[in-house]
Amino acid sequence: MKFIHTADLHLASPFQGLMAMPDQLWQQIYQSTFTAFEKIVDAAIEEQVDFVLIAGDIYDGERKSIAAANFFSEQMDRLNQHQIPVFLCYGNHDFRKDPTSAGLPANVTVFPNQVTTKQFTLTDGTTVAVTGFSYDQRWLDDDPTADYPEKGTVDWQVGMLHGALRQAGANHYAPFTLDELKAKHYDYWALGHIHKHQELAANPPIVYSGNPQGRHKNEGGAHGYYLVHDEGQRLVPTFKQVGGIDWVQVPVDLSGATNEGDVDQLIHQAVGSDGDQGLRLVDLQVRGAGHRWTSLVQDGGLLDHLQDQLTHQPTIDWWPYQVNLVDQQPLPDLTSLDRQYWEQARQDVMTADNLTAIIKPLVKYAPLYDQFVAHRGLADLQQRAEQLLGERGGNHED
Amino acid sequence: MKIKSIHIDGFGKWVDQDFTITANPQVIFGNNEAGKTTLAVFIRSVLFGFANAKGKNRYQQYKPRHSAAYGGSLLVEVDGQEYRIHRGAGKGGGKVTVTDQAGHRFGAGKLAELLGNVNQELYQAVFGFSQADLAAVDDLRQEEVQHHLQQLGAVGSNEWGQFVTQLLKKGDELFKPRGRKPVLNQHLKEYQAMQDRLQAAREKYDEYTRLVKDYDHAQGQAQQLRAQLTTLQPREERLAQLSRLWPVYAQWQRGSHPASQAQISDDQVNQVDRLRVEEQELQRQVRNARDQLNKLTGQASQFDRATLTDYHAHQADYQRLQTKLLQLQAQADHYQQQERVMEDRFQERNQLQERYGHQLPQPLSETAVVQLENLQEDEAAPVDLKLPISLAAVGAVLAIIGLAGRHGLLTFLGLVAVAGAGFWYYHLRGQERQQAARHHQALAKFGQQHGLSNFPVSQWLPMQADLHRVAELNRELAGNQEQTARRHEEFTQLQRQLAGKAAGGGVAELARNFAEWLNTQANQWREWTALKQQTTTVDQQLADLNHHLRDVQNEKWAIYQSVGVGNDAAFNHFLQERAQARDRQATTAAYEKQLTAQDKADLARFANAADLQEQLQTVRDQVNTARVTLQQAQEEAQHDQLVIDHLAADGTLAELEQRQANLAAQIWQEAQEWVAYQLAADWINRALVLASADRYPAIITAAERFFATLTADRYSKILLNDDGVAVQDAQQEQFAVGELSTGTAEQLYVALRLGFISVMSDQVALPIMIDDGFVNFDHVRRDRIFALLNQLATKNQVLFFTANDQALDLAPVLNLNELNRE
Repeated sequence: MKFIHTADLHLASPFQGLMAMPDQLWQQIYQSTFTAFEKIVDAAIEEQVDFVLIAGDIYDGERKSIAAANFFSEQMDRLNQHQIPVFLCYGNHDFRKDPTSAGLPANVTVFPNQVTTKQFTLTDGTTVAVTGFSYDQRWLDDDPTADYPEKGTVDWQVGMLHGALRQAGANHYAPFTLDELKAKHYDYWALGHIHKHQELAANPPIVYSGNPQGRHKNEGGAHGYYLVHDEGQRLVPTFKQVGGIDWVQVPVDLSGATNEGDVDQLIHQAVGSDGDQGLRLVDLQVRGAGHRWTSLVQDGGLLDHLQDQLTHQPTIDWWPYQVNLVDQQPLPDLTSLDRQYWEQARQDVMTADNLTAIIKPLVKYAPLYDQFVAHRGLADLQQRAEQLLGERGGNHED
Repeated sequence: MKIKSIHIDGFGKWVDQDFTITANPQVIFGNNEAGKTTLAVFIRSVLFGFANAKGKNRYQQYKPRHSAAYGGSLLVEVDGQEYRIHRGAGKGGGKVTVTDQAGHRFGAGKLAELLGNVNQELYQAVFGFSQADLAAVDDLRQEEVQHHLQQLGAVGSNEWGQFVTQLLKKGDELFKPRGRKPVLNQHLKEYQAMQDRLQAAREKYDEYTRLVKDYDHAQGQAQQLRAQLTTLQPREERLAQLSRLWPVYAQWQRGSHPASQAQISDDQVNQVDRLRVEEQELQRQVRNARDQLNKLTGQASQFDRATLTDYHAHQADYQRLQTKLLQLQAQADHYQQQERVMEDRFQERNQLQERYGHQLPQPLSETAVVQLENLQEDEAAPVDLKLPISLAAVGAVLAIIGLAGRHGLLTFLGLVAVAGAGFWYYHLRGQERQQAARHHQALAKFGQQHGLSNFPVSQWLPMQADLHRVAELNRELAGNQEQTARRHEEFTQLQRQLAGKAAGGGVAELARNFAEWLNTQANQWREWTALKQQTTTVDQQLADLNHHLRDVQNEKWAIYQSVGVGNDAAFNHFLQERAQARDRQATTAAYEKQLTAQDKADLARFANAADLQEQLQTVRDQVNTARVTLQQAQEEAQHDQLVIDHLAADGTLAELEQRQANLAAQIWQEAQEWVAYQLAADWINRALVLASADRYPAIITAAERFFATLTADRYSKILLNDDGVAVQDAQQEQFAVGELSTGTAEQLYVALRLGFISVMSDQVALPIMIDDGFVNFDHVRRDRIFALLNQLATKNQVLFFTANDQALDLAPVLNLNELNRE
C-alpha cells in the first residue's frame, strides 16, 4: 500500500513580507502554491499511489479565489482519471459548514464536520479506513480526539487531523495530545496546520506534512509531502521535497568592505549560486556594518540598491526582501555616566503596557492589528530603538 | 585632573610656546585673534585627539603654517601624580605619549585611564558651557524652559533633547494619529481602498460557485439524457424496423385468412364479357335510332301544322282566289295605260280653269245665249258730244282774237260761247250716265243667274266653248274615277281574304306573294308527308333493337345474380377481388418467408399500422426531445466551462492580494519604524528624567548658591516640586519658572547648569573650560561671575577663556595679548 499525505496547500495565497517585487517574479510567486501542489499530483500519478490525503487548509480563505477552486478541481480530475481516490478535510482557513464534494469529481471524499470514518478496499483486497473531520468554524477550542473511534477491523487505519498540540494558554485549533492519538491504535496520523514538516512520533507515525510552499520568512526550510508505504505491520513515511521558492536567511559580514563595490561583492559571495534550485527569497543578515554601512542598511538604501540591481538582470534567481543589521548596536558614550538611568529607563519604557499605549493609534488598522498580535515580543522593536540611539552616537563621532 | 602647564610645539598661531596655569580659577584673557580659542582647542585636542582632516573639521586641526612641528604637551596632575601628555602628528587623532614622573612612557590607553574613559563628546556634554547653550534657552518657550530645566540633570540633555525632537519629527513624517499626509497614514488609507477592491473581486466567487453548480447540473442532466438515449434509440430502431415490416406482416396476415367468395367459371366470365360487348353494341344502336328519331321529330316540329292542314283543306278556294287575283291584275294593267289619258284630260281641264282663274260655271243653254245677245245690243246708242266741243272751240278762238285785237265785244262773245259750250256738254253727259246704269243692272242680274259674275261680260259669250270642253272633261274624269274605286274595293277584299298568307301593297305584289305562298305550301306539304313516312320506319327499328337488348341483359344478369352482384361495377370489383385473391394466395407464402417468429410476435402486439406508427412516433419524439435537451445541456455546460475558465484565468484577485500583502509588509515596516521612534524618544526622555530626578537635590543645593550669587541674593531657594522647578525669594514667596522674567530664567538655567557641572565634576575630575560663556553679563555681575567661578573651582580646575576686558581686574590673569606682544 502506498499513499501521499499533504496539507496546507493555501492555494493562491499571497507571499507575505515582500513589500516590492519585480514583474519577472510576480508570475513565479503567484504560481508557486499551484505549482507545488501540481508536483504532488504528478508524484501521486507517477507513484501510482492508492490514495491521497489532504489534511486541511487547501484554500487560504473560506471562499475567495476562483483560480484556486478551479485549479484544485482540475487537479482532482487528473487524479480521478488515474482512479486515485482523494480524502480531504477542511481546516481553520477554509472551514465550511456541511461541506460537500460539489464541483469536485467522484474520486474525492470530503469529510463532514463530524468525525467520520470512511472505509474502502484496495484492488489487492487490503482494507483501509480513514477517519477525519472538517472545520465548520475558524476556531475549534475543543479536543476532537474523543470522537475518533479506536482502530476497527481493517488492515490499515489512518487518522486525519488538522490541528495543533495542546499547549499552555489558548488552544484554538482542535488541540490534542500525542498520548490521545496513540491511544487510538491507528497506523498513521496525517496532520495538518503546522507549516513546518515534522514527525511528532514514529510509532505510529504522527506527522505534519507542512505546506508544500512556504509563503513568508517564517516558512523557510524544505517543503514537500510525505510518501507513506507499508513495511510489514508498519506504515513508513518518507519526506519528499518539492522544489519551489525558498525563504532563506543569508549572513554577510561587511566589516572588510571599504567601498560600495566591496559591499556588493561580499553580498553576492554570501548569497552564492544555488544552481537550478529555483528562486530564493533572501533575508540578508548584515554583520560588521560599522558606522560606515549602518545607515545604508537602516535607511533601506542597500535593499533598494540590491533590488534595483537584480531587477535589471535577465534572470533573477534570488531576491532580497529585507536587509537586517544583526550587530548589537552599542549605546553612545553619552550614556556612560548615566548608565544606570538608561538601563532603568529601558526597563520602564520597554514594557508591554507602554507598547500598548504607543501603538494604540495604529492597532485599529486591519493589517497592523494582526502584526502586533504576532509580534508581541518587544525584542525587535527594542533593537530598532537601540539602533536609533546607536545611530545617533555614530553620527556624533563622525 | 589639573593642568599645570602647557607647551605648544606648533598649533595654529602658537609655535613653541609655554603657558603656566597658576590660579584656579584661571582667567585666560585675549582679544579676538589673540589665540584664545586656539589654546582651548589645543588643550582639548591633546586630551581627546586632533580633529581629522575630513570636511569642516579640517579647520579644527590648527596645523601651524610656519612650522613643521604639530602638537605639544600638557603637564597634568592626577591623584597627586604628574604626567606629561604629549600629542603629535599621527593617525587617528594623533600620536599620544604619556610620561610619568619616573619617565615611564605610556600610550593612548594610559591617557584614557587618566581621563576616566571620558571622551570628548562626553566631556563636552558634561562641561561644555557656552554662549550657544544660553542662546538655546532663549529660544525655548516658557513651558519648554520648564521641561528643559527638569532634564538638566542628565548628561547631554541638550543634545538628547534635540535628538528626541528629531525622532518625533521623523515619526510624525511617518505617521500621525488622524493625520492624512504622512506616509503610513497614506499607506493605511491605500490599504483600506485595496481592501474594498479585494472585497469586490472576491464577490465574483459567488458567481463562480453558481456557475460550478450550473455546470454540474448540466453535466448530470447530459449524463442522464445519454443513458435515456441508449435505451430509447434501439427501441426507436426496432419500431422503425417493425414499421417497415408492417405491410409484409399485413399481407401475410391477410393471406393466411382468405375471404370466402362466390365462385364462377371462367366460361361464365367469358360469356359475360361477350354479352357485355353485345349489350354495348345494341345500346349504341339504340342510341343511334333514338338520335335519328329525335332528329326527325325535331324536323317535324319545324313544320306549321295548322297552316299545312288549312292549306290541305282549302286548296281549291286558294286556286280560285288566285284566278281572281290574276284577273284583277289584268284589269289593273289596262287601266294603267288609261291613266295616262286621264292625266292628259286632267291637265287640260286644269289648264282651262287656270286660264279663267275662277271656278268655271256650267255652259249657257241655247236660250240663255239668245237672251244674252239681246242684252248686249241694247247698249249700242251713245250721246253725241261733238257740237258742244265745237262751240267751245269757236268761242275760245273768238276770245283769243278779241284779246289780241282788243276787240272787247268779240272777246266777250268768245267767252260767252265757251261758257255756253261747257254747260251744254255737261247736260249731255248726265243723260248718257242714266242710260248706262239701267243697262248694267240687267247684265248684272243675268251674270248672277248663270254664275258669270266673276267674269267680264265681254267674255260671256266667247268662253262658252271652253265651258263646254271643261264640262266634257269633267265627265270623263269622273267616269275614270269610278272605275278605279271599284277595282280598289275588289283588291281590298282580296287583301283581307289573303291576310296571314300573303300581303302586298299592290295587286301585282299581292299576286306574286300569294303565288309564292301557294308554292311554298305545296312544297311543305310534300316534305311533311315524306318526314312522316321516315319516322314510322325508324320507330319500328327502335322497337326491334330494344327488344334484342333486353334479351342480352337478362342473360347477363342471370350470371351476375349467381355471384350476388347487381351491376357491372360490382361484377368488375368481384372480378378484381377474384384476381387478387388468386395473387394473394401466390404471395402469402413469399411474405411468410420475410417474417421471423419474433417479428410476428412483436407485430402482433399492435392493433394496426396506425397503432404501430403512433408508438414509433412517440418514441421518436422522445428521442428527439432527449437529443435537443442533451444538446442544450452540453451547450450550457460548455458555456459555463468557458466562463469558469475566464474567471479562473482572471488574475486580478491574486494580484490584488499580493499587492495588499506587499503593502501590508510595507505598512508593518513603517509601523515598526514609527514605534521604534516613539520608543527611542520615550526611552531618552525617561532616562533624562530619571537622571535629573536623581541628581536634582545635589544640583539644586549647588545651584542655589550660584543662583543667589547671580541674583544678588534676591532668590534664596530653588524648589523642585511636582509641577517642575520653582524659585523662592527672600520673602519666602515662590515663583514658577513661567512667572520669571527671561533674564531671571536664564540666570536660573546658568545656576542649574553650573550646579550640574559641580555635581558631575565629582565623577569627571577634569578641568572645566568655560569659553566666553558670560559675554553678555553686565559689569555689575562680573564680580558675581567670578564668585561663581571661585565656587566652581573649589572642586575642579576652572579655565575661563574670555575677551571681556573687565576680566582683567580679576587677578591672576593669563593675558594672551601680552604674550603676543613679547
